Amino acid sequence: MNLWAVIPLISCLAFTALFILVLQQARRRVDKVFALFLLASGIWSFTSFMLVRNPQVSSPSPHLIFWNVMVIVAIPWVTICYYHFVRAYNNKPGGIVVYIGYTFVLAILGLGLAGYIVKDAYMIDGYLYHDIAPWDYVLAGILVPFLALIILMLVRRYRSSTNPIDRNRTIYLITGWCILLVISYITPFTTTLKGLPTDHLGNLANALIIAYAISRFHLLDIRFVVRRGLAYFILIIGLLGVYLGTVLLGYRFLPDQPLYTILILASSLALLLALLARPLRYFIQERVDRFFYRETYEHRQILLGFSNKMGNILNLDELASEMLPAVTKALNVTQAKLLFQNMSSGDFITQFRYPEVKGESGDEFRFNADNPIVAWLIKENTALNLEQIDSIPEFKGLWQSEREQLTGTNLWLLFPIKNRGNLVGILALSKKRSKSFYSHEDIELVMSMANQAGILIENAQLYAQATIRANTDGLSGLYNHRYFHKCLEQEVARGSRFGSIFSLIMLDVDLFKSYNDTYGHLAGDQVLRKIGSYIKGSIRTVDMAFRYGGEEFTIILPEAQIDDAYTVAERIRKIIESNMASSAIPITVSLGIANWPSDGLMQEEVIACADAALYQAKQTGRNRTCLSSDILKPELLVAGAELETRPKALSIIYALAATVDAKDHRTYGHSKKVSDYSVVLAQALGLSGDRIATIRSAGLLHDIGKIAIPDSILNKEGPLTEEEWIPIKAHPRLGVEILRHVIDLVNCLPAILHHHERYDGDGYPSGLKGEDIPLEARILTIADTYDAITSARPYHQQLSSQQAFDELKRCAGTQFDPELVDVFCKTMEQTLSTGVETK
Amino acid sequence: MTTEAELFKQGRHEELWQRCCGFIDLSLGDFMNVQQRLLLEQLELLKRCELGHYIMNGAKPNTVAEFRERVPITTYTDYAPYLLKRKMDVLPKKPILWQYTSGKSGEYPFRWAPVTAGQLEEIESLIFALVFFSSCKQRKEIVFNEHDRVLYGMAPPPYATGSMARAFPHELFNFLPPVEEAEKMSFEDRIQQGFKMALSEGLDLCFALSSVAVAIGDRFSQSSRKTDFGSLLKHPRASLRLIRGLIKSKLARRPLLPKDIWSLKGLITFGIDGSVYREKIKEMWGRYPLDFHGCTEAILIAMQTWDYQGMTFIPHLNFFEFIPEEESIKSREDPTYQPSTLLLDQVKPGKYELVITSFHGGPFMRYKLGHLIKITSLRNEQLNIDIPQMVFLSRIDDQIDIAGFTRLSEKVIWQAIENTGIAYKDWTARKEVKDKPVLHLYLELQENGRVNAEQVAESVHQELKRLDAPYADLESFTGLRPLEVTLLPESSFNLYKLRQQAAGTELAHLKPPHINPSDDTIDFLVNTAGKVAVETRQKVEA
Repeated sequence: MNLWAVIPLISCLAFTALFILVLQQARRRVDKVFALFLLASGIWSFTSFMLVRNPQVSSPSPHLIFWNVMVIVAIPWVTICYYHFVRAYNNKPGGIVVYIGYTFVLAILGLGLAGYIVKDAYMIDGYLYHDIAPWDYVLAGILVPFLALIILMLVRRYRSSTNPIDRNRTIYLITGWCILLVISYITPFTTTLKGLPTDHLGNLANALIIAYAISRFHLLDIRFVVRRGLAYFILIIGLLGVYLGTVLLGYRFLPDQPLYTILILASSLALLLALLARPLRYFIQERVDRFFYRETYEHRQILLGFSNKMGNILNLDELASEMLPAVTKALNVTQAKLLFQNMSSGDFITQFRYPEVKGESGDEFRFNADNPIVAWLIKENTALNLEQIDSIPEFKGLWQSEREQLTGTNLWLLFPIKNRGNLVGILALSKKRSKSFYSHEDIELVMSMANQAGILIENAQLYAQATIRANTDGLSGLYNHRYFHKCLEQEVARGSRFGSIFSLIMLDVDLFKSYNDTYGHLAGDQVLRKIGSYIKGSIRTVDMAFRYGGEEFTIILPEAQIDDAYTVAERIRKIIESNMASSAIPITVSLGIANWPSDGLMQEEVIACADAALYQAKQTGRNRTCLSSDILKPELLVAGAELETRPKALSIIYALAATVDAKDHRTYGHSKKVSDYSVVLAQALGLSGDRIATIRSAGLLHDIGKIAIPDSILNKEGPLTEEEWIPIKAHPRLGVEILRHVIDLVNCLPAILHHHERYDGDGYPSGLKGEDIPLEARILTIADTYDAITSARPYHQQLSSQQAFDELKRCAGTQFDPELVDVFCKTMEQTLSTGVETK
Repeated sequence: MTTEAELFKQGRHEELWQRCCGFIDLSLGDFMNVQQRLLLEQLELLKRCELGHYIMNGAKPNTVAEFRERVPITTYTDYAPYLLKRKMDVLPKKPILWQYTSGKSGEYPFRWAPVTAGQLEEIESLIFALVFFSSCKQRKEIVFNEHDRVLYGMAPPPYATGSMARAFPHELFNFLPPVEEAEKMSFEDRIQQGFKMALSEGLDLCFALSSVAVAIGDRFSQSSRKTDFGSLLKHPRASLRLIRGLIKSKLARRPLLPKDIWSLKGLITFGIDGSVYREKIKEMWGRYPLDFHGCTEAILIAMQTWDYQGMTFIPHLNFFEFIPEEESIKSREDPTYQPSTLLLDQVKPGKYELVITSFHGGPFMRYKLGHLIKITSLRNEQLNIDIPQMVFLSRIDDQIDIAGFTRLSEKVIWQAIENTGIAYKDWTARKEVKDKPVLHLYLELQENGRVNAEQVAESVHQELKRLDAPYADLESFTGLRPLEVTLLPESSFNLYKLRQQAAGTELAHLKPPHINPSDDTIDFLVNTAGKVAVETRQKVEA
């Protein structure tokens, strides 16, 4: 028996076992073609075994020639099958080339059996000698293009794929192919191995690698296998070297000692070293890892021991500053971002990034709470490759803008950070600097770190939330009184040390007590909540807003001059005024501003100055902003005294108007608009301030009498019956009845009573005609009609402003005062064309 | 991002399947999430455009509930002022092409509908899904290869199925004839040319109207009796294919059929007659056709999967609402009535009228398609698809109400005629009221004289009773047989088509409608066509 024949025999048995295993699970085309490859390989090994099993066979031997022909046929068959398998792996049909290949195999078989290929064959000392010229060149000429095509297809596949799993699978195939090429196709041409069946080792290794890749490709990274294998290889070679070295040295230097003594000595030494193997392996492994990872090694170590190193961190900033640089450096990533959930909106927002990119803001990248990517990350425990967003069916619900945001960034992978199944954060990694793709091992490494980070992040978030809660006012959502004093103290200290400045705004809600008394404390709380959000929305991120107490708020504006603070204060005042007005809430605010250090060096002094400015704003008519420098200007106080009663009356008017508007949601804001349009006309007519104020109030209250009209009539979509007209026509008189006891509003009554009179005398309730109708009423009639035409109503379609002007002009002289219509239309056209708000 | 075509070329079949066909693996909850999110995106677009403002009457809904509450159910008449003029600046998104279908007689000849880039992208991906479903036996099985040969027998652009041909990744496949050439040819020439090319080059996928698939099969069985071997010698590849097919058919002792010539990887058909011809197509082509449901306005609504049973709804092209049948009837009787609708996760097996809202910047909002569908089951147990399954029943207008007992759809009548086994050329039917309401069927036979009208009426009547239980009840309750049959003179339908072609009528109107044809059409078929046919025959004989 030829000992070398063991190689093809073992190979044949292994292929047979593999063939049976693969055939049992062969459902896909790729599995079936792989089974065919195994079959061909098994036959190749078998024929080879039959060829070389006898170490000495003299020429001529028909038996040897037959098996030699079979081997020569099997070699191209295996190669064509492998080519066929790689085609199938790439989901390509076999194509004409495969047919040509198989035809070639059949031709070789025919020619071989006919005795044209192997002319002579014999075995000497286990080596095969045969005469197959020139067929060896023909075979090589045919097979080399196939071998080249195989590697070309595999490399193309590897380069086109961005999926780490697929790339990993392909690299297995490439590795297997290289082993096959070197051991099976090249080494048989070396002098030493020529004639020996060692070529089967290459084929067997390749088959085992493919089988592993097909069944378990998702398990290990090839790089990981190489690294681990190398460490063990070095260790075993080292031990073997020590053992053999000891034996040789023993022979040389202790020639008198018996062989067993030398062997015992060498074995003892090897055993001792084997005991040290474990720490030695760690040492070798570290060296190997350092060689593979070079400068990223240290960072990888940090990631591997992440939880041990970060165990005591309770601060998200600290955590991010440790985590992000380590990740970016370990994996050579261009940028890493940490997204955490915003408590109020539920959205995941970028809070930390490394390295910082110039011009990048904090909110540039976010996922809404209902984003399917968030739902996917909650559900899955693996990284999301952003190449997959077009493929995962749940992501069909992504908005175009969301897709563009994702594709527009440099991001590549998203890792869920979870604790007890809850998504507490998202780690987003950009592409690698080397433009290479992430390996399976990279992903495993980051996932393991993300898993460890979950609990740390949740703890840090809970701690941060507790801190925020301790400093936050529950009602307004702003910081509280205690935290205000702490921050103010810090600002003063910072200013003293670095020479910086800051401004302080104090804000107080006007007539809040009356509002609370009228609408109740729940409505009052609602107002405070709204004011809190308006303030928050009107300041910079570096500014800090506080609820000072009751209906008073403060804002610290670091590095802000008093003029800048005035701009901010006015913005807040106007936003509150307009938003409250549009919600029909009769609320305004007054503000006072002081500056550090110009208004005092002590924090108490600054507060006192701001408070005094606020008092000034209140004294001078409310709904205004005063600076500390305005304090005690007598002329302002006089003007304020005149205006003092107006806000009080206005708040009553707003409340009454809101009551009317609330009856019919479709005319929402009608009174306010009529008031605004009336004022525009009154101003255009050059009326006095008092008359304008009267018209403003009358506009707000002109429909107050509608309180008594049943909703069924007010909201009716069809024409009204005569009976239904009765309460409608009575509403001006009823309005007067309601208001005549309010002394502040007595001037408004004529306008309210006669705002449904017609210029031709056909109106109601008094049938007045022409100039007999009070001017204020004639103004109101035009404003009322204009708003009705330009608003959507149940009984008619909404018309444009131009159509409304046409309608007013058409009825000028019959329904309306023609001169007033003329002025109104011109003024409104100008106002609309310049885009100036009527207010 | 890698495109579908690139994935296909690179052989990344698993990713390609997931991208194109993955929607069938959504849970119903996930399906609804996709629907809701895309609707909210669409609402944002609608709020910013004139059409949205007009149709929603100024409402600015922010949630699905608000949208369904505040926006009325619409019909094409609501969009006509904008869409008939093909105004682009009023739409939620600028379209990249327009497609049309036949319109409403007397009001507008066509219903134009825009298609946006986003919609077309999704259509491309869904065409891949159709192709894969038509050929696979299990999930993730893709048997098509680059340069496979495709016969495209759908209508040309600007019909919706023509737009689909444009979205079809034709650079990956060999179209017979190539799309650029095909678009310049008439429909009939295109099919002829494609058929000839398929004979010599082979055929892997047929994407055709059901009637076209049947017509090709018929042509085979008729031509096999008179094969002109002389002409075939000029085309050796076609001859070989044909000879092989003839041998197969002779061995099977039957006429030549397409399945003898080609072994198709996939067959996709479209049309109301899909289910009617299902078995016939299987017999002719050797495999069941994969059916899908769509229309000009909604483009694609649902498609069958590889069990060829109910169709699975597509979540990302339209938002679906369902009007229960009784509500639908009520709204037809009183056009001002706003019917209530259900969402897909609320439906139960039964009949519904479909209402859609376009996604991806399409124009339609709560648009009543006029399609009556049937939810057959709430999931596909066999293939483990967790989305309700549907079949298309009929257009709401294409139904004939007989004495309030039953509403016979085009499909049921067609199926009944087919089931009788009587060889016919074409048919049309309408309700006629003389002393009692009757269903009057006008039928042109393949060969006159073999059966008379009474025999046909009896056979169709029996089949209708079998297919439609309320119809059967009508006879048992009233003793009436509400069916009359008139056998039309030979070539009536052909002459009608010639008349329409001479008048320059569009492809969609070349044939008379199957249901409720006008008096003029019936008069032509029964009287004029008969006279012309007789005169022609006399001239030929002379």
